[in-house]
Amino acid sequence: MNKQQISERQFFFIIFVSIASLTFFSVPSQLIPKVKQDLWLSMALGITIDVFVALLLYRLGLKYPNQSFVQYSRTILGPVGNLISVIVLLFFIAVCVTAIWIYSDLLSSSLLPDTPLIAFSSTLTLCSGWAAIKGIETIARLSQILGTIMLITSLILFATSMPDLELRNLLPQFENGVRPALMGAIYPGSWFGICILMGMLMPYLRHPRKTFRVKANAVFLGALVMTGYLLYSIAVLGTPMASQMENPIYVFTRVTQLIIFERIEVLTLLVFVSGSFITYATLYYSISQGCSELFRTKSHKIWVYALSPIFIVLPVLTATESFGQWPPYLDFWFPVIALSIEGGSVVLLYVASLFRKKKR
Amino acid sequence: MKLLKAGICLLAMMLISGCWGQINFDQLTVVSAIGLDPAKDGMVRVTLQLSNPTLPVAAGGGSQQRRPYVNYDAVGVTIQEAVERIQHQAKKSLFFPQTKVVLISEQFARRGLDDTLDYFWRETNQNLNSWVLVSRLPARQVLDKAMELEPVPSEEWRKYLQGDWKRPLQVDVQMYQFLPRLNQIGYQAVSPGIGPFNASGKTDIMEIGDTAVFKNDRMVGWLSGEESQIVNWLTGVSRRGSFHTDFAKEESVSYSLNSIRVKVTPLIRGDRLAMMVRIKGEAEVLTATLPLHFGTEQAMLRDTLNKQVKLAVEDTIDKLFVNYASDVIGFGEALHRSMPSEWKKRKSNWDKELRQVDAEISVSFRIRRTGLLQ
Repeated sequence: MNKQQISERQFFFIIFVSIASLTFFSVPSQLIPKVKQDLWLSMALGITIDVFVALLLYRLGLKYPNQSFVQYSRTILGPVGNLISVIVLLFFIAVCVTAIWIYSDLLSSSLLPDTPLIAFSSTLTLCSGWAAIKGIETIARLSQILGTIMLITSLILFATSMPDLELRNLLPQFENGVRPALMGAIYPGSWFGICILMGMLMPYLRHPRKTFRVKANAVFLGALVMTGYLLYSIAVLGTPMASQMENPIYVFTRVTQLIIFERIEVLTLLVFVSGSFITYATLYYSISQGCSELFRTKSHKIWVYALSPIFIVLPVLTATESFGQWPPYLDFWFPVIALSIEGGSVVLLYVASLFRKKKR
Repeated sequence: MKLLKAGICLLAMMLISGCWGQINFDQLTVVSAIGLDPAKDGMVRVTLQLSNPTLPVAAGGGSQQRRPYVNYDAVGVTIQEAVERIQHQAKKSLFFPQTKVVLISEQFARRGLDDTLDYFWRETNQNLNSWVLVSRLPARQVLDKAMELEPVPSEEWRKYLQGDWKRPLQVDVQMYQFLPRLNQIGYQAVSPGIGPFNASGKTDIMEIGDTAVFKNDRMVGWLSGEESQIVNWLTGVSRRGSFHTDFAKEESVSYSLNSIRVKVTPLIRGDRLAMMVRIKGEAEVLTATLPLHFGTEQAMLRDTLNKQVKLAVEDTIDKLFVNYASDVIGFGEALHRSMPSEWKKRKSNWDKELRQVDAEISVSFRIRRTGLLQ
């Protein structure tokens, strides 16, 4: 079969871009008001959760080479495995809808207020769907380019914002004890965990043995960059202002200057939009690929078409918006459900695979 | 087929230019200053200074007789309402992101700001980098009467506030720093004041000097230039300054102070809160009206300088903490950073705590240069 293959570096950039842009969506507005200056600890714990799940997926991937998550869950648990796959895929679809909704919301409130929301969701779905149809190799190549741009842009933003930094805004650390930071770890942890879609991608890697190391490095770098953004926002704006803004990173880039250029929030939006595109394309591809393996269709392309109306229409409905803005959704339900599905399904499969081996 | 796809892509690129949402430059007016005054019944009068861009000389703009700016004002319950009324007068789309200065009149500041300024928190088009000034006269008058070297006065003010050279005697604050401090007990807001140099005549040169002190969202008083300088030192904004020591018989020696390092440490002595201020720096003699012998008199000069600076700092802290009960030097935040549990205990009574703070100030300047080239 003419299978597509991606190299380690491309995989690295896919994960890096995904981590960075996924965190951008809702983590700042959750973490900063609740955890404030201690958020670096929450991010570190989030990395730990993700690396742990990644390790399990890596072992599973090695045990069942050339099989993706959907395929080996079927092998391990039979029909129950199919059920797990369905739950995971439905969850990913819900994540995509949430992500597109947040994306449209942010762009419309900051940049293009008069544009109808459906323009955002349909253009993004169109581009990402097209990328998904072309396959993972296309997405991977693109992620190399966009990932490098994102990294360089972030470093430029960090370097030039240094004159506006007030490092003492980052003190006192742990003024309410460690508990807020520990509880806050569910937010980055849940969004990072979306990268278990790596389980879908493992069969395509040229050297599957290196997957874990590459993924861990990418998660680490992505989280480091995002922690940098968040800490910078607090250091420049101060905790009271950063906690009240809906998107503190956007406001932070609005206030700083790049040598002689002002209003460099366009760079942030560039990073955000390109990151969202890559993340979404990868998710879209993984979901379609997963559906096609689950229902044993010949190719994933038909699923790309089938899912597109959901992704175009659902995020912009008023019902979705009021549901999304209902505070407990992003505060509590989303992270908890996300962590249980991501972590729970992987742990379940891993434990089951150990038993299966012993049975033989 | 490929040609068709390529054609579609190229067509899609035409959408990037944003033609359907365009507002041409001649349909925009750039708001360069916003003035806020109180109006009756708790309403606010908003004055907008709209700048009229002149074409560059090469394009035939040099000889145009156009007013460089124009002021419109309207009254409304909120700033948003007033701005909408001004929109009718201005007849063009108001472009806020280039706002240079926000002028708050003293009357309005003393009445209480917070609810009205909510507009600046929420409105996405507002420039969070605009400079905040408190004007002694009503803002409308200041914007009407101001005469500066630049055709648009607020541009001149912005350049002044942005520049580094005048820093010692002047605080400056941008909107994004000003807004949260209106609600922060541990670090209250300050703002430079602007007023006419001579209070007469139709046009006046405006002087930016003095500092308005806020307590929560109300203004409570003014600080002179020397006191603002001390506030700058204590908050760590400025590391330079100038100081004037007085001697007997109206003689004086003035110094230029550099490399000033200030450490403000909160301490708990028993149950009382104490503030330890340590100021270190280097001084250079600028002018002296009495003959000085540096060999023998250096110690005396140094001691006099240190003593008088200490007195000035004590007076300023007294004025701020006891008279105004406003923590503009960020002492509360310093306590919050070093002893968060103590801050939590004392936060609710911070006014009272401030009045009882024991300030221990130690100043040590080293006189480095005499100003003469020998």
